[in-house]
Amino acid sequence: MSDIRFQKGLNIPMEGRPDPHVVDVDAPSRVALCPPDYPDLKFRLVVEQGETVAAGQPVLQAKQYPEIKLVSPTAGQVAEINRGARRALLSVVIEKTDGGEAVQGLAFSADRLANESGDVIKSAILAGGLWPLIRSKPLARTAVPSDQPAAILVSCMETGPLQAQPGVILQNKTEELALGLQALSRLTAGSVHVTFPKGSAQPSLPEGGRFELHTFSGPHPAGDAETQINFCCPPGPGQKVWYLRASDAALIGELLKTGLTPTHRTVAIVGTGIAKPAYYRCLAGAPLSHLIQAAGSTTRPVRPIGGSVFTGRTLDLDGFMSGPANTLLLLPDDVQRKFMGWTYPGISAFSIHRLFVSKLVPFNRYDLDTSINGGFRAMVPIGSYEKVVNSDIEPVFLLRAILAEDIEEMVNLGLLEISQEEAALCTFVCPSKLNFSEALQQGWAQYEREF
Amino acid sequence: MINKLLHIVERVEEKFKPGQPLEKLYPLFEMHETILFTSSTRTPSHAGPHSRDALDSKRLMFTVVIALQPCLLFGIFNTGAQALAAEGVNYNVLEAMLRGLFHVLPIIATTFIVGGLWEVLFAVVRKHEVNEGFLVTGMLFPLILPATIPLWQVAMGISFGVVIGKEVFGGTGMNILNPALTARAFVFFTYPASISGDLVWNAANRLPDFAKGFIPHGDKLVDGYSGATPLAAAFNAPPGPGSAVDALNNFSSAGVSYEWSSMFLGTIPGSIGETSVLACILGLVILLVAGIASWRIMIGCVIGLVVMAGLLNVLAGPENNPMLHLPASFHLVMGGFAFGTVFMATDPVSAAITAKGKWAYGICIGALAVLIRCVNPAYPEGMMLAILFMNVFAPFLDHLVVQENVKRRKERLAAA
Repeated sequence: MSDIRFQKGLNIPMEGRPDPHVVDVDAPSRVALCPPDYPDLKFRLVVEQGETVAAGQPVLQAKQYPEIKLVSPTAGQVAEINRGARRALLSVVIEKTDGGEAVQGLAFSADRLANESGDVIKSAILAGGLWPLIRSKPLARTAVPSDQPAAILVSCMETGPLQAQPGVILQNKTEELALGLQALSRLTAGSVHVTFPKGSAQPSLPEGGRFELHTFSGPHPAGDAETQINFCCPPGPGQKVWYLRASDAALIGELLKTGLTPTHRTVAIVGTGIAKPAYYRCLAGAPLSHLIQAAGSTTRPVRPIGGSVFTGRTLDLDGFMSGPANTLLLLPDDVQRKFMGWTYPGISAFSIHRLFVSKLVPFNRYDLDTSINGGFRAMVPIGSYEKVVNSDIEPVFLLRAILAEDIEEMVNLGLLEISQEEAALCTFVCPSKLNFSEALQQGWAQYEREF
Repeated sequence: MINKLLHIVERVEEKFKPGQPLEKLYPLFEMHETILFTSSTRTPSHAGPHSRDALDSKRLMFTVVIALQPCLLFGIFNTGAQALAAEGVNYNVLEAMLRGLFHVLPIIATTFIVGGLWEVLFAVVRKHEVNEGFLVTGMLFPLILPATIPLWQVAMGISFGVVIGKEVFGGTGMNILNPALTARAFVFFTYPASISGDLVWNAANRLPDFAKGFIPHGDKLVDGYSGATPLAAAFNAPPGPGSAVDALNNFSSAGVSYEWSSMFLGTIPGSIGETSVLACILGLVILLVAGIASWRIMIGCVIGLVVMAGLLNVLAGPENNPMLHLPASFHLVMGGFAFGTVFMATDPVSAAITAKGKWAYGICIGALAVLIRCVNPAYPEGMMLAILFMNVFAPFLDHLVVQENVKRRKERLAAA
């Protein structure tokens, strides 16, 4: 067991933390599957409008990897197919019907998992529609089912601001998590690396299988799986390392245990934009309006975000909850233009830099909004990036190489090593408001084009 | 009231929008708008991060300007005090400040008007925002000039600094050399009579006729004033150990002494803002608390100076140049070393970026500054040239550090 401490990084003490208890929410009348949740995949429909579907029945299929499917979380009828620009699929809405059928897949006991071939387990996860939860480094893409990953990393911790805590989501899911981990260990010839916060109880591991435990401590992104890979099991040239959150591994365990696709998700609804931030358990893909109503309505104009303030996806208030995210952040969007703002002492301003009075207030909690807090300028490297990047990377030079589109140089400087979370932190702290995250996606896209 | 003002600003903005008559002057509008009101720009919604740190370029640069205030205020006082002392007048602080202002304010105004015009011109032509970095350059440049400098030379200098030192590379953030030092180097090599020698460091007898009526003691007239700077006084001492320190301790002219304590406090003639080490230390505290300037560079500069001065002390024979025997403690408080270390070497754009690079960069500056002072009789002040020289080498130092990082990565991948 290794113990890794992050010296650098950033914890943002945001206001609007969720109460650590789970509230059950009534089932909504309609749910949706949203292809934009998986930006690296293109989907084709396998059902038609008006068709009746069973719970667990495939609705969408990835064009690149037809075995990857998204399945309906409920029995019902395909009510709407929404498309956006260039006919890209935005959402497939399913009108829930009571009763209805569920697709029964293979169920596994722990013994059977230990003896069954990896391919059977893989097909069971694919058929249950949970495959896109498994991500792959480098490039943070959906895992390719035919790949042989060098290792798999499962993070049992979450350090992002206001993010759903695995401790709450995984209540009473010990058995499911163990089953999920066991299934994952059958998908790789290497080890399954399980990470958890230093000082907390060690997650219970299944018998057999190659597992390695690591503890992490320090500021965010200490809990981010994609970042942790750099310290536990960095992929070699041409290798892939798969990663996922413990809550997702537990969903896979639940699917394999029962043979039924898990229909419900526990979502933390957080932020100062919502009246009662807490954990809510509801049918997957529920309408945002339904979830927001359950959490006591929004308090001000908000931008709804599925995931974290760093890497989450902007949702539509009239739309549906993101499938893979387990946090719904309602970030205030009512940006005020302050008179002579640059002269303010900044008692409530959050910054990693020591130029605000707020740095003197201990245990301050901050009400962040969507303001860019400044203007776009050329790079003035005062060492902000170096305060948040833990991996052995020179972030300023990597960014310059990406902006210069020098593919060889950017690969040399760690294009495939830096995580989305680290790039997002750099974007967050940059006084020139440069968008490192956007640049990273461009660099990755260029890498995919050229190799 | 404020809302009304915001309303007016937003109405005026309409005239600068694309397609409107004043579209081309948008950077000019943006500059004033963002001084009045914080931006209403939101983070892009298509991808995170959805929120940003509160620090922006305006606050960053403004903090550096605040850190320069101790040097500026002391510089104004000292300019007046030196002039009045040389004219043989008994003066109080207020009179000295007033006299100093009369000499310093025109230099600052010229810098900001001329340099600002270039900034705005380039912003409009290049269609980018006016960068606040000029606030710092515009504040630094007057502080490293003698108070007697003719204003047209100030205008020429800042024009060269802004245009050739910065804008030809693409503006703030893209420049290789520190623009304020580039401007000073231009003045230094183009008009050496105005910025070197013994005649220029005191503003005595430099009042124009019209000012003599209302500036206190303005009617006092003495014969032409001349006084060597500490560096020149030390350099001109007889060869051998200890003679430079003796020359400094025994120096006396018009009430000015070059003892260590006077040089530390800065009550000596010199460039406007550079004389006081104490004022530089106050600025340093502000910069370090704010975490803007790199402590690695500053400590590096001091280490480089101490090591190089110590080395020269040991190696120098009795027949050698007296500067070679000058102890490090004197080097630290002489010339522009303190000001250069705190405000010039730490300019984040022209300095090294990597942590190790910063150490090397700082150490080289300190060592070079001493070397130039001691060995090259043409330039008694070495700090300016040392920093400009290392500005050029900073990318090379970073390159070495980055290549080390690349090598480590390759080894890591090979092992995986």
